[in-house]
Amino acid sequence: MSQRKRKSIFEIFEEFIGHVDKVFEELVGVVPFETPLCDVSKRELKPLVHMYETEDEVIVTIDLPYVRKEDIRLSASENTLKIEAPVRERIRMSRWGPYQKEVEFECFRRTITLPAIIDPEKTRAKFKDGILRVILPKKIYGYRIIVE
Amino acid sequence: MGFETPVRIVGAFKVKAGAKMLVGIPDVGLVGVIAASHIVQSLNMVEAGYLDSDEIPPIVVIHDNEPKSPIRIYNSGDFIVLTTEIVLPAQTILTVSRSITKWAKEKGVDTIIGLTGLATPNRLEIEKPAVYGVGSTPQARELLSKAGIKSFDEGLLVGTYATLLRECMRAEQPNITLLAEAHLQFPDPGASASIIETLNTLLNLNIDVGELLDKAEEIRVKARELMKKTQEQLRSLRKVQEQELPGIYV
Repeated sequence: MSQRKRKSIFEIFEEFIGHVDKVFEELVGVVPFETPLCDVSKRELKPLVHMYETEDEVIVTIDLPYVRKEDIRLSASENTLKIEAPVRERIRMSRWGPYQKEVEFECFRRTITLPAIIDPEKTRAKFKDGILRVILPKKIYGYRIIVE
Repeated sequence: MGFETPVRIVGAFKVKAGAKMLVGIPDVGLVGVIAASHIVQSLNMVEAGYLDSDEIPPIVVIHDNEPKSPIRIYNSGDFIVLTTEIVLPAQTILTVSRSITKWAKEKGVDTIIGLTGLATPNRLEIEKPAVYGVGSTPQARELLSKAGIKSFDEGLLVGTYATLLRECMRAEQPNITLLAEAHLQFPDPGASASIIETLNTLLNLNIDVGELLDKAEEIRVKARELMKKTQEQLRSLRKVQEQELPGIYV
């Protein structure tokens, strides 16, 4: 039986922001505070993510160009999926507005709030052509009801 | 010079008789935008005009200290390319499509060719994306057939390319829409390469896609923000309808 790891205050805050965004998105169809897909100060890129769910699973695909399979660090809790992946060479972007003449990025990082409670131990993932596909089986609660 | 519509096409260049107009705007996998950019560079096309409207987002692109309209038109004589790096607001799609069609008709453009992606759930398993074609007239369909391009027989098209196709049908302006199997949510340079190879066959061109494929990862990184905005638009347009089971059509 696995031990549940205590979450840091940052993880809790990140989850909270994820929930707020999700609620706003459901209510008005947009994320309230649009943020760029990068953090220049940390030299991090936020990967593009596509997520959908079936009756039994949550399926997440993540776009990870410049990443090697062996460098991907992936972890899941019951309602989050965390991805960290250094790039195999620094991604340099030049001539970025009047202030940011050139910037380099070293890794992809993102924590994704999942739409359902999943079983982290049964999660499986496959990486092909720079795209990571993660299948997270949902936790099944309840009893089977016999129909007479 | 411009039209008396909410959308104006500005540019005084002369359209060569028989010229084809290629359209690459943000949609599935950014296939059209990536393909259009590569075509403009490969054919050394010159910027000849732009599309202007009070309704498009308040954005100006600055390149080499020169402000430019975000929706630009390039010309090389035989080909005209209209492309943009902004996502058109849903309420402007009809007027933009209508203006492009009207302009093409008045200028004597032979055929408008829309370049886009076809959202393909198992794209990861596909090594070389197939390209399908839709023609608005019997002549356009014959052209596709002669070039050996698979026809898009049944299904729905949703979004800007669908509106452009419909406006062309209304105005009797020949239109061909090419759709390459693509990732719905991620930039897909591989699908763009397939569509350019199809154009090579259709229009007797010789555009090399080697460099495009070599730069695929770089393009995927640089196109992320545009893809994110496009994802939001595709969601609002209910692009998912293209993947729903077909209804009854008699």
